[in-house]
Amino acid sequence: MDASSCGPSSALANLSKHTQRDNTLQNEYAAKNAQLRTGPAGFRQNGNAVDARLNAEFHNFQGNGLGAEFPAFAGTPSFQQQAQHLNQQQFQPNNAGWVQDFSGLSISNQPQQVGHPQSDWHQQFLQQQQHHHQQQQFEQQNIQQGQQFAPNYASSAFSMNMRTNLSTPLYAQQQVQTGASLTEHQEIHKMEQEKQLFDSHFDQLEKELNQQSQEKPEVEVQVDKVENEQFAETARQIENSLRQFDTADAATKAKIENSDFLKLMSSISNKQVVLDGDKLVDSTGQDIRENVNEPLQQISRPDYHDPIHDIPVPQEARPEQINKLPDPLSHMQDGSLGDVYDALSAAKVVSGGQVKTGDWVDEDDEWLDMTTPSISRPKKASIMADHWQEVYDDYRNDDDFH
Amino acid sequence: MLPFRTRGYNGYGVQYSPYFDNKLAVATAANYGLVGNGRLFILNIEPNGTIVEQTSWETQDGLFDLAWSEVHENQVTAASGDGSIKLFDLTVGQFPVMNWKEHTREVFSVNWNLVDKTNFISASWDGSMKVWSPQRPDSLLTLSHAQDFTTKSSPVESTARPPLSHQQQHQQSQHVNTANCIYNATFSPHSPSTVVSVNGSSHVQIWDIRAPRPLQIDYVAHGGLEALSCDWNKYKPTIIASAGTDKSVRIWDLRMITKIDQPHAHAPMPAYHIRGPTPLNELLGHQFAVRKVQWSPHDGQELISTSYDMSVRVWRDESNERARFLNMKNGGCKGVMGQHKEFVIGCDYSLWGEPGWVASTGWDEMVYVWDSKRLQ
Repeated sequence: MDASSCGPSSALANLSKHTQRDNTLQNEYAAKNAQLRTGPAGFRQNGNAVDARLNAEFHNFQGNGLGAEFPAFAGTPSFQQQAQHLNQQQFQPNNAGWVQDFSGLSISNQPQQVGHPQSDWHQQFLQQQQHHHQQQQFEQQNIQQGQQFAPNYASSAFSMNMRTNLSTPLYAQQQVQTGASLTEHQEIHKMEQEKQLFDSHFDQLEKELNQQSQEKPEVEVQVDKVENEQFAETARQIENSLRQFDTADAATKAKIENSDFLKLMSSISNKQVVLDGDKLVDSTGQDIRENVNEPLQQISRPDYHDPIHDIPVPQEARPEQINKLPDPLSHMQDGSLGDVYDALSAAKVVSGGQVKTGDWVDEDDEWLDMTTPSISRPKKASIMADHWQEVYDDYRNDDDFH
Repeated sequence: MLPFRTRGYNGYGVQYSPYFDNKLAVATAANYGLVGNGRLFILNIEPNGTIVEQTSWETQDGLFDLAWSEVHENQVTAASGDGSIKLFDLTVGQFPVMNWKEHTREVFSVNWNLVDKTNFISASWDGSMKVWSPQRPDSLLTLSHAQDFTTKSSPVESTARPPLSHQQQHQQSQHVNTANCIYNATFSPHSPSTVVSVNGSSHVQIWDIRAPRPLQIDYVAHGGLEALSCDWNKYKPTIIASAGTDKSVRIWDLRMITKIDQPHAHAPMPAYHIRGPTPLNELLGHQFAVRKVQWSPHDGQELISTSYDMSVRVWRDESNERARFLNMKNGGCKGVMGQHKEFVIGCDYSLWGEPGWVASTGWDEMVYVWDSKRLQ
């Protein structure tokens, strides 16, 4: 399939057109979007891409299980983050104490530190958060330097705002991140499993279909048999109900006895006549309609090319009034001249092709026709003697004659 | 009596052309409609008293009914056993000019709207009726009803059982249920939107195709036995006739059918309703199920019926819908036409000439045109 042909020549070609399309840009965009949804935008783009070691760690973590790890570290709570926060807060002696208090009180900060303190990626994440945090605090410092006489409560309030803003997302974002990696990993497994499932299902289906196609004739024969059995049973019922009917009316009785339909019913119930496709066949395999008293072959089918409307002949026409001559237009159907308006085409139709255009129209200008050499063009046979033809031609072609 | 033999094909329906006084269409099926193809005949009644075939079309499945177009003199619709409805044009040989396939089972009746004239209705064994326009490829409207399990032809113990198997051959061994089959649906000649239908669970149903809930009247007409045919009186807009496997023809005044007992779509008919309302008149005489009933277009008191007892009967309905106590008691069967040698299935009154001319067809492959006034 060449790419230059724009129209799909087959369904397969159309499919390959779809599959071979370069979707990398869309994929990239979609992947980026997915990332944005799961964590901070710059997380992976800053070079902290998920590497093999990280995955191994994560597997390890998953394998051990959170529940298993939790008790081990529950007793040794890590104050890493809090210490880091303390270090940071030292730049801001005014509100450091308050932040420490707050961090210590903060419920939301605790579990994350307890949960996986060793994990490298967790620290990476924290570092990034801190980097982010530090930047903001640096800005804040600048502000504070600029506003030396700013009241304490203002900056503390500001700082408090910062902390509350960050503390909750820190936890939440991390949780989300963990969840996302979980699903990501599981999805791969799931897809593999699904693929296997599909494959096995298709294999099974194929096997079943093969079996069915092999068994089909047998089933059909069975169905036919069942059908014929039911058919015979129904015929028997019909026959019985009609034959048992006792009527005082002798004519009706005779009719019932001579009924061809009832004879057919009895031969069906005796299995002398059976269903075969869309035919009823007798024991010799012959269609029962072929041996009706007047065979169907003798029916004269009407010739549809004949005119359906006969020419009406007056009933009381006297012999001398009947036109003995054949109707010259008998082959014309009513209405077949409806679209004929000029005399020439009418003559052509009526004459049955005997009249030609050349007979009516002078073909004097055939010399204009340059497609055939003039020598080979047959000379039109004239009905006149040569000299009379010449005179006539002169008369016809003489423009000065008036 | 003018005969014509539809050789090799058993007659199911016959109708006079509404445009030509000498034209008949006959719907037929091979092998009594059990298996095989069908054929639609167009017949001309010649001035010398013979019936000749003008044209005919062979179809893949048996044809069970036909209806002449009321807007086009050359067009006929035919109902086929394979669930399709075909429109034939007399000037187009061999093939139908339209083919509609929406019904899932045999289409058993087609009827042209006599007032609106631009649509027709089909009734099928799949339990639905569809309104069609000859110009459109799809149906305009589908009417269907909730099944009634309380009648004799569809008692609960045999029809309301859950299916035991999804396999085809096991389903087939179960009793064939005809309760849901709609056998006949006919447009009123007095209203462009009113339809009467009869079904295998003995119900006569009146529909208004404009209404959001089209079912207007619904009652058990033939004592729980299958109702096979119905027709509107051409002179009295509220009078209908119905016929069924209880061998009777019943005349109903729709004003006297109470609507109080009309069931909800989800609830079955109450048990006491098996008997149903009382007919205005009941015409008894057929020895087997009555297959078709039709009112005369010339006389509000005359009707004909065809039956599986191989006869056609002409009836006089003397009942007076205004005063029942004034009934003359001199109505009833006015004649029996016994020429057919097999079940008589289809019949039609001629609209033309001397009133009382009738065409009938049946499984003896014969079409007879005869005068209902000259029966012995």
